[in-house]
Amino acid sequence: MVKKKSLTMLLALVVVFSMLAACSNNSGNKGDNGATSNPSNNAGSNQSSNANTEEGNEASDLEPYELVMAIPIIGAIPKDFELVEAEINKITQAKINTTVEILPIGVGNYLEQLNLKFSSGEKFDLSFMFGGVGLYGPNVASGKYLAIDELLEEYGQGIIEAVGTDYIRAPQINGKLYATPIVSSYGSGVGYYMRKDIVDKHNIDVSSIKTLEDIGNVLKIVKDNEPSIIPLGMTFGVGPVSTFTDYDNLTDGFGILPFNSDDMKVVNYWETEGFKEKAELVHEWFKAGYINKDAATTTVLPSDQMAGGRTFSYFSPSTPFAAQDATRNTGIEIVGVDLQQPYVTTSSVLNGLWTIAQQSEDPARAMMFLNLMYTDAEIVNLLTWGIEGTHYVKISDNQVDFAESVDAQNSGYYMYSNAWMLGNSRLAYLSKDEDPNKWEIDKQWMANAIPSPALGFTFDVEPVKNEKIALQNVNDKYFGLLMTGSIDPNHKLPELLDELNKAGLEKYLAEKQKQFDAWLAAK
Amino acid sequence: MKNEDKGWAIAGHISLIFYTVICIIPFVLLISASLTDQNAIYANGFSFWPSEFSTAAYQYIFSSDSGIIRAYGVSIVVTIVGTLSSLLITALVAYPLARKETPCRNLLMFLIVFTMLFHGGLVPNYLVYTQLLDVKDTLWALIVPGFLMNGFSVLIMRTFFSTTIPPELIESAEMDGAGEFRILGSVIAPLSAPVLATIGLMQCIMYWNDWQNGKIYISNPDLYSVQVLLNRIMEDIQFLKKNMPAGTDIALASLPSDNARMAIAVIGVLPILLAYPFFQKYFIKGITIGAIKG
Repeated sequence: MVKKKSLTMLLALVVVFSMLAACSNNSGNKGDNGATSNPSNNAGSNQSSNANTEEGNEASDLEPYELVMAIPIIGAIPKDFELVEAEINKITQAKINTTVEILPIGVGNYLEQLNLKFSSGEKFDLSFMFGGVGLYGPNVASGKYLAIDELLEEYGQGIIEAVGTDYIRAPQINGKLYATPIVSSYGSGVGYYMRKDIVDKHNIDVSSIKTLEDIGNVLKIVKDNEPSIIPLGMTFGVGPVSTFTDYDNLTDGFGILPFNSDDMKVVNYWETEGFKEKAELVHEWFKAGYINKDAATTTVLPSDQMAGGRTFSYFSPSTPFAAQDATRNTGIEIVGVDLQQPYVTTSSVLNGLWTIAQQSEDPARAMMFLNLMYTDAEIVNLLTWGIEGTHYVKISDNQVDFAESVDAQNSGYYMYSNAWMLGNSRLAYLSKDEDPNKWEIDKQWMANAIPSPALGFTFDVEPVKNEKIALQNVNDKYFGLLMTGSIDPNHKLPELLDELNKAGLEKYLAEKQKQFDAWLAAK
Repeated sequence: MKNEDKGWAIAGHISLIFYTVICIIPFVLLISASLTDQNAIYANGFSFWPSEFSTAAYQYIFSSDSGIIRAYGVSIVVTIVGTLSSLLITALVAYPLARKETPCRNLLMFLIVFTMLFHGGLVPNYLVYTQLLDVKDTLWALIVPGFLMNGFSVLIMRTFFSTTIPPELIESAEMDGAGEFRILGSVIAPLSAPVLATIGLMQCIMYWNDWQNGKIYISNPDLYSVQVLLNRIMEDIQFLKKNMPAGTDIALASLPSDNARMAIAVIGVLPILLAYPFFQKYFIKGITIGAIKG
């Protein structure tokens, strides 16, 4: 009897263990992000970097080197990638005696693949990182990236010039730089976009739309006169509340700095009057039926909802070309208004980052190639458009079109949706649909941009990472519902604040304030 | 007494029919969505009958630049080669373990069961397969890691061999002068059709449905299987919608639309649906016999 019992116990234990094993396997995929970095490569890479610093910059003086670089690909991986790579290698061999192996990785799989490369210590030099996914800070903390201050100074002058001295140091953490930001607008405003046919039909004066109240009136007109159309299309996270930012989110949004802050005090966004007002307004809209009922859960982008003829308008971060681009993508004529002048925050500068891996065998060479990506129009054009004649033809000085019998669908190399990730995508030709003076217009628009008082500050989450997870869970629970007006903020907001406090918001804010004060003092 | 049986039968049938319907509904939705016009999906959501009939999704799939025909070929090759080789390896491991005269068989069995319960983890696996075996970006990456031999199949097969095949049979074959391989080939194998079919089907489904190996070890789009391709598309979309980096709008426009994704899923499940009836008669038999004393 006793024996039988112990056997049953054993069996139960085995089952429990096998379940645990399965669980740990799942979480392991995520947890590995921070856990394993490969220290054994450190020594080697430092040595070779020193050795190289002594060498000159001339191609003839350099040893041949093969660089491995990873870039995320949005959409299908182009068929002719290797042809383009070969062309690029001709240039890099002449200039810096280096061949580049570019690894195109599907964007959905990119972060995991990167993590495997860092953890396994395989040969790897350069990689792109999205600023928005919140992994740059943690990856720096776990030592995956090399500090690049000296390398940048020595081999990356072109990068400094292309990015501009205002922004080049925005990604620094604890006084050290681990990445270079891509060249982009850096700032973004708040835009509201409408279907032009309906705007015209009801004589809506677009130029008079300035505030959320004005938009409320427009929505009412559409609601009253167009019963088959939902006035405002929203998707989880993309709506008036989340788009309409008058604050710097200080890396992650838990503890923010209002742009008009006098005392540089980190505050809880959910407690601000601005949020409450907007949340209430959106809830009014939701109750009035202005917003799609599935706003909190749908995954169809607002612009797609509009393309399907379901909705009249949507909110989105704005650029001078947002309405034009949206018109091209949806096939519906769209007009837009800017509701707020563009602001520049650390997060908006950190849209895309180029980093050098700690296991790089020759970081100096990686920096040299990076410098080419910010300065060499030939390389940028190859990566953006492919090979002239095969994939594209020039139609004017700075505009190109697809080569004969080639279009976006059948082209062997079409990377338009990826081009913005390259160091300086503005060196590339523009497409025939784009304004030839695009970058000039953008420059003027950005001249009005206001830098956030916290520009250059990146929060190091390490000391409070447990609180961060708890806060994120609370956020995920309420975010979609409150942002889309699906629930009454008067009722739910106190509940949310209570849960945030229980999750350790106070400690989090204090830590952020401490780091921010230190950053301000150092500045 | 008889009435009671009838009551049970009716209740049983109702609950099973209910269960069947629950299983089938998603398929109906899937097929319907794959045949609906994309803009109609945006406007009306999914429905059980296409609100606007369109075969655009299937035209897209069977056009050359979708890469799906090629992926289908990869899936078929991987499934056939993988299933046959894993069946061979599993049988060759399980058979000696079922024979009492094999030395150290308990230790070997323990090692096999151990791998069922504990994993090395993702990074060590990755290291072994990319640096020691170098399967990265080859078809082997879809065949070898995790599937070629797994403890569960060995366990089932070993139990089958040791419970259904009397040792006397092997003895008599030996007396007739057959060698070990002859015994395995001419005596054991024909008697083991149920368990071979069962394990074969399980392996077959595992290979066909696998996307994880592709996700980790394959970056060359020419080597994507159907499931890897589908998974990649879904993950790309998820990533873009969640993080919304610049260029998302254009990017999403270049990815297959909802109905195309549904259509890929439809042609992805088709072969398994077709293969199932052939294996089914062996399936239950094999798994129940193997399960005794499992």
